[in-house]
Amino acid sequence: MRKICFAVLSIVVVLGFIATMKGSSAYQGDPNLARDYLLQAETSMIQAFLATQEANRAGADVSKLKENLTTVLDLLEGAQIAYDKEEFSTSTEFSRQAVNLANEINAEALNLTAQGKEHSNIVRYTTIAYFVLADFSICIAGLYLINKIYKYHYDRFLKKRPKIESGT
Amino acid sequence: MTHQEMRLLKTIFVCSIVLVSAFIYMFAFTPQKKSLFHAWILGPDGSILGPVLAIASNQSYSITLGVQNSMGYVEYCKLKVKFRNVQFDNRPSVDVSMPSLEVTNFQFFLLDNETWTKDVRFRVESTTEGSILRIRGIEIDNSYFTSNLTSSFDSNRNGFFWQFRFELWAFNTSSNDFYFTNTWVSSPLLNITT
Repeated sequence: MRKICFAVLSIVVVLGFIATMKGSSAYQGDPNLARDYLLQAETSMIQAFLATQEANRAGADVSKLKENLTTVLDLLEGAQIAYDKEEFSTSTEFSRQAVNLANEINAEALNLTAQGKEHSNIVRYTTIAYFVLADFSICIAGLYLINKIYKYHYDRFLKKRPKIESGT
Repeated sequence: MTHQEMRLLKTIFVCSIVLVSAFIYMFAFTPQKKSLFHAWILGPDGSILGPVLAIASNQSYSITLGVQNSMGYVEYCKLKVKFRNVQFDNRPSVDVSMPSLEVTNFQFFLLDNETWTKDVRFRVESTTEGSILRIRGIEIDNSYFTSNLTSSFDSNRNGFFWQFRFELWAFNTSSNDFYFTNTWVSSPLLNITT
């Protein structure tokens, strides 16, 4: 009987402790920390977006990065909702994940930008080389044709034209 | 034709070939800037909405919103949902953002030529006090906005008329802020009955 009473008392104490902790700020987390993380997550997402757009301008395929940016946006939304509900530890955790993912996107975007610039330079110079080669070929062919026409014209009309003699 | 004329003809020929190829390169291989967004609004199941939609207070209705990015690059967009009193607010201009009440907004990223669509449910809570309609709250896509907006009876149109306006804002990488893209769509006129 004494053991049962002790067990019931222990359960009551534990439940009371959990209920108290749930209501306290220690369980819910630090609001200032959550606010700081939220702002940091927003800044990181903007930086990740700027890096992604730069990579896109350099000609890189950024569809995977865009998917990850959408995930960051969802995490930020979750963090904001948790913050509004005063669940600061949950909000901090969402923001922390958003920051980490945004940093990964940033690094990947920078890498893609470098690759994209290199690739576009190769494409540009190859295209120019093809154009120069095509120009050269057309010029050679054209000049050859002009010479041929001129020669034909000269042989047929100018060479056989009787000379007009002057005097006598 | 003399030899000098012949030489001139050859020079003109070579120069014209070089110029033509330079023009072809410039026009064919330089990306043309498009700078466009498109936005549209449809009824449930993609049906076309009429000019006026009669809605009852506290009843849910659904519409479909769509945005397409033709800016050439990935864009960070914000679609602001505004609620306006048709009777008092001026007719919306194409290039000016309405100063109406912003109820909520949708944020998303869009690749070039990608389309974003969303089925949105909305509900308006209102009460009538004589010839005054009071908007108590607006629920749109699970976010609730409490309000105390009022409108008087429009005798010309015979009802209380409000309207949602969806404005597309995009993130400007130079100013690090959102700017109005001059792209917007409006819902049909909402004839609200209690």
